Amino acid sequence: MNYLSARPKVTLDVTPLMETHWTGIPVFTRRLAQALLWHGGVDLEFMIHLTRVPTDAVTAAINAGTGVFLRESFESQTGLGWVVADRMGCLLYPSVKTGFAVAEREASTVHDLSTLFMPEAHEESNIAYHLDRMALELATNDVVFCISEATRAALLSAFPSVTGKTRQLFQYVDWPANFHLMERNLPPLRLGPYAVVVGTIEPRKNLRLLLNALSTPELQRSPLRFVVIGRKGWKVDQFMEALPAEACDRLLFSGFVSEFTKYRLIKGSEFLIFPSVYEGFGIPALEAMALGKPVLSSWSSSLPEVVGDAGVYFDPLSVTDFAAAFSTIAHPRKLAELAVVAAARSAMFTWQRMAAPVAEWAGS
Amino acid sequence: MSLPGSLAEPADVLANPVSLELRSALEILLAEARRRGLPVMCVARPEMFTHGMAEAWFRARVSPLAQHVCLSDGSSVKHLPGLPTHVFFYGLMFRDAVAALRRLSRRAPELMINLGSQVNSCLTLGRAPCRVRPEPVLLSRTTALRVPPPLLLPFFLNRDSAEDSANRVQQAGPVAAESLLGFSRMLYVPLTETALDDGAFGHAVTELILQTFFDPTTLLVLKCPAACQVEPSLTHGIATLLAAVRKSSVMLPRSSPPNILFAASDLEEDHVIFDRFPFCLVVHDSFDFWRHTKGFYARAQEVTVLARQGSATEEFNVAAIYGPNAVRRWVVDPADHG
Repeated sequence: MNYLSARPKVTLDVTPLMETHWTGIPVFTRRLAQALLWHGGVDLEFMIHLTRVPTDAVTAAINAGTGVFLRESFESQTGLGWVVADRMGCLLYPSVKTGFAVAEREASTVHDLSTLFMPEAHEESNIAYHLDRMALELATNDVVFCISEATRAALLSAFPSVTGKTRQLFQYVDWPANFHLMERNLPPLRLGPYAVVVGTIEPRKNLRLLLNALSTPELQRSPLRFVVIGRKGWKVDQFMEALPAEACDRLLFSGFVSEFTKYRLIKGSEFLIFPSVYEGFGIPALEAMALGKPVLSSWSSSLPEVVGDAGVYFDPLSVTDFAAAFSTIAHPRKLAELAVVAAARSAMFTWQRMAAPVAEWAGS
Repeated sequence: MSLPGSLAEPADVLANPVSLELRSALEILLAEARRRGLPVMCVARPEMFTHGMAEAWFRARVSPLAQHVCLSDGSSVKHLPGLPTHVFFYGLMFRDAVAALRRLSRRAPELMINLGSQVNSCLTLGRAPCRVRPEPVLLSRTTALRVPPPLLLPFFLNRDSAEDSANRVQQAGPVAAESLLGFSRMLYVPLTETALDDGAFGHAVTELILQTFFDPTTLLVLKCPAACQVEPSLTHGIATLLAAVRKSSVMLPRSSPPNILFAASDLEEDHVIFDRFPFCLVVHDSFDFWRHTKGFYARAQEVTVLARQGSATEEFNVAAIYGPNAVRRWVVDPADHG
């Protein structure tokens, strides 16, 4: 506790915000920082590599939506201007912990255990980054935040000793309010009816299921095209080369796009397809639901927990099950029915809900 | 692997081009389940069914199942919520698999705490203070693997080059099992990466090769060690053996004796070479004994299990695994003694 303040001090590691393009962990970090700032229940400071960073530098980066300036600013420091993060109080990492037992109380955030349970979907360097010091990280943590119940269950199956330390840290979606106005001033997208897939294209995301299903009668009868939004991930070039020509006609790969373009593409879609075989949370599902889009989702890990009744589910390893679920969700009446549920369910994931467990931990 | 879904019949899995090791492990479990009258279902990606709706969906489809055996290549061990998990490490003859399991034990030391048993291994897993040794359960094949006889190739080692050794062996061409005459016995030594990484075993095998150079009545067949997830390669096999030979202090003649051969893959009990000579088997104590039937070992005049004292399988009763003709011989790595 800071003696000058009634509020407990929390120092948040914002190192992920130094990325130029924010997806995944940087977006999570940004949302967490915002949630804690809005909440106001903690005396919040920021750090990068255990060095204190001015709050205005972080909020400027958040407003800019990129870490370019924050990174340049940080890297241009001589070491005289900024000081080491405060050892007193709570040190919170939004992802993997990079300093051990340096503060009075420490917490880190576990996003998923795919490096442990799906090592074949990762490069060894990534596995080492996530797992080599995980036991030490958990042991030196006061609290371990898990971004879903699925992640918590997976974590406890591998590290039962942390049972009493885990807390959930659910994300929220915050599409900028001006996106709606910006979109209204643009001509409509001319893509025809389509469903959208969001996420880095990599084996774990299981896009191959959709490709294999294209030849099923259910999908052949459908007029829908499929827009795939996301940067190319590991092994994607081999994957793309293997695509049959007929698949290319119904697929549109957008590559990495701005948040606004992603918003437009999701908003213009009929529904989101989430074929992933493993997720820590599945934020694209929540992003789509916030725009009233139902989710055709796999029965996997965290996805049912996020999507709830706002989707139709399938076995991610079964083409026939996927095709049947596709038929169900593509029906206009079903879409309309689920759209209402989707919007309502997404509203359950709020910044208050994200900030509360951190404030509770810091104040305990 | 092509499967109808995350839940599949064993036949669906076996219809895929899976490795011999995985196939063999699955067939052993199926035979054991049949013996016990238990139904078997294969689960792909069990990590998907963590909790809640996903777990409920899974449970609704597998409700008669009461036990879970994780077939692991060493890189991961997966649990299914609510089911006791056992593990069968089917790739421990491969260096990469052993290294992966070692990393896994270090990275997730508690992962193995709740394992019910380990099939066909006797490993201490995890890291202090979470080290555990799940109860070993020994299961063998009941029917022989149906695979064609391996290529038999002449033995030659150029101490300085595995590539040159392999080239010369390949240029010399295969030897027909039918053409082998005049031997009073055959010694078969199935080499693996894991076995040859043990300096004591490597030294013992090198000495055995040297002795056979000067014993024309004995035919020595060395199965070339294969690598994990790579097509069997003579160069790799010879390189692995050569590394062990180099590590040993023993010098081998640079020649190709008629009584020492490489086998490019495993010999199985129905292969004709076993009908031609009485044979003895020499294995490392890490040998994947479960890939052969007990009938195979019963045909051997003697099975010698080479082990160093303090090894993981020290308490295994070799007679229980290999039959009454089995003996354990302690070997030492000269490097351990300066």
